[in-house]
Amino acid sequence: MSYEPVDVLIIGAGAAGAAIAWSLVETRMRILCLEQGPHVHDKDYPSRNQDYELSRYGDFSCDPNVRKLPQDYPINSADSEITPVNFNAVGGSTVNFLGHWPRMHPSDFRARSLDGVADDWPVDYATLAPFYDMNDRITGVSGLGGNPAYPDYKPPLPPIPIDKLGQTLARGFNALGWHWWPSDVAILSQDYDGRTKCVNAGTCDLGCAAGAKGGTNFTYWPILENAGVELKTGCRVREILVDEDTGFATGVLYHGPDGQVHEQKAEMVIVACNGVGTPRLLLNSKSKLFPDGLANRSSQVGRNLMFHPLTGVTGIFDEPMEGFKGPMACSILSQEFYESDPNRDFVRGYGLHSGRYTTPMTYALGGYGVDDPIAWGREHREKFDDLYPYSAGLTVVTEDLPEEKNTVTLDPDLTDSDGIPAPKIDYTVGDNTWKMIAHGEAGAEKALIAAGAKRIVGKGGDKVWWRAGWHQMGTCRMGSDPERSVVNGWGRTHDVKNLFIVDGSIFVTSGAVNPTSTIQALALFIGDSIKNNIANLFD
Amino acid sequence: MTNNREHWSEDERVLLVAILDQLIPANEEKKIPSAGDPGTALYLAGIAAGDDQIGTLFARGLKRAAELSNTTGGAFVSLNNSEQIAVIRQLEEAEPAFFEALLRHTYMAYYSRPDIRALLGLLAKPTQPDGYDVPSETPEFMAELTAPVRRRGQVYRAC
Repeated sequence: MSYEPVDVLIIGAGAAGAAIAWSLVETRMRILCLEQGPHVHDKDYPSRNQDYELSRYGDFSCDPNVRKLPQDYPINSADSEITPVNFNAVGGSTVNFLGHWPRMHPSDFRARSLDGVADDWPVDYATLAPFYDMNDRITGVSGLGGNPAYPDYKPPLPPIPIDKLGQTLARGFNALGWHWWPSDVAILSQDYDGRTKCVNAGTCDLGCAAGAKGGTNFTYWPILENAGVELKTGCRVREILVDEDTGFATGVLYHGPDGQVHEQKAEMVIVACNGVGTPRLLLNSKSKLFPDGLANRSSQVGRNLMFHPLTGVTGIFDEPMEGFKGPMACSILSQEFYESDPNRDFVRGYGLHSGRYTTPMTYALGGYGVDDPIAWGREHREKFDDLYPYSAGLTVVTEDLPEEKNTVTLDPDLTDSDGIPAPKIDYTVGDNTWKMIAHGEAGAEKALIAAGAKRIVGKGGDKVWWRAGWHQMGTCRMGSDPERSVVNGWGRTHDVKNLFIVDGSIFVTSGAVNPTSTIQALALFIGDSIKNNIANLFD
Repeated sequence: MTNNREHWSEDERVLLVAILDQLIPANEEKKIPSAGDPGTALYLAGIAAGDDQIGTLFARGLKRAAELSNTTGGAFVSLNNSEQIAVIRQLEEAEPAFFEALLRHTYMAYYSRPDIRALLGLLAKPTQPDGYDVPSETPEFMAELTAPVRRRGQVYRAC
């Protein structure tokens, strides 16, 4: 079936799709969003169930290859050191993300100029700052103003409790004279905008049934649906169509919930499927004009895949740390080693994130993002009696540099349930990153001991966390040079004038922070640019 | 998934429970039970009954465990503690796929139990909607704790 054209067709109802829809609502254009997942009601979140932890290893796993729900597509990550994770529903991965909300630094947008690596972004921090602020207000961000690691800004809500664990580690950083700060979080420390504050359940990844976590299913989408934005769920886009005469996108073919293929025409198409889903869709959209995939004349679609390789170091303290209480990934953040330092053997930097700890089943199975069950027998008993309650950890979150060899391509054999070729990931951790990890592990150990840890356990060794590909960036990067980038400085593809990309795939560099606040700030900025250029948008 | 008490024979069930007692031993002092308590075995029976592949894997693994026990000195439950541990270590080597699945599902079964969570200090009930009571730090406390960081000043590169 073919539907009448809409003005704006957005593919993906996650972080970026919601933000740009919000930006464009005021134009009164007819906006339609196609989302392959369903609405997941908060009453169905596993955190309301007695056996909630089991869901982490089943139908609420962050890993689509584990969940295997009808709306998920498989990902071949056999040749990757990290496997991508996500969630397919209204809200996208903000349904199961952990809500950590740091901004990128000004220097993150100038890696080539400052450090001679990667490329500069075509936008800078100062340009994005008002959009970060706008997004923080809509999302309901908690944090403490005055962080010396950033130009001045103030989150709209006071920080969430850092509790004993965060206070203990903060004193350790203070003893060393190192930077730390309460984490900015997309989690409400107070009731806000009709939503209730965080209840410190500690199971953010299993869906925040309180609505305190700023998933776009709680923030943007209720506003958008009230404003008349049309949202169709259970609709998986197969390919984006182009007119071979004009070179413009004309709409999409998608598999609807009825199992049939439909055509939706559109004046403008905006892709918001993130760093794996977006290149997959473009590579699947082949035509005479674009035999190697849509908007891929540069051959950059799918290249330069960046994650944030992680490892963790755990300290054992004298007192119980009660790390299972409170938002699971967010307490305090040290950016002591974030900026480049010529005295180190690596460029760029990393953060030391103090997550809380974890729940017992996840601890027994090796930790969040790790598949390595702890020992059985007497050693098991000792770990649970003598280590688990007294543990506090620091996660080393490194900046990943773009490398062309790290790619998203199409798997020649694997398909989703609609027969659409699935993505294949080829990814290895770079030498610069390994040096950062070694430095970070040593730094984390030093900080934990300064905080009073009596023993150090759980260093990563020669592996990074496997199930840790939350942050998928770089595979359709921004740039002013059409030979070396896929979209321009405001998200429009160089090759197709009415096709935009607004998700993590357009990042030029990764920074060493969780990307969602930057993804949404960019989406709002791109929406603003579309409005500012509306008179000659497709010239 | 349906728990299935009849999935295994009585001999298999007794053997499995004894192995589970070794995988996660009890802490008598804290009154934390071992994994051999009935709930874990029932969960595993449900897993095995609901998935032919795992069911076959478990049947083969338990058969091998019985054989290794007999070679060591008799039925698993008749062996002393160190002999039982030695048999399990042999089993781990001989049937790695079974053992990996057994360990993983044992941990999942045992730690999904509300009574075990409560003994470890967590809520027995679901984490939502009530969660945990964690007091916020006062602005004065945070000002004092962050004072050394503020005093040091800007740590980002302006550009």
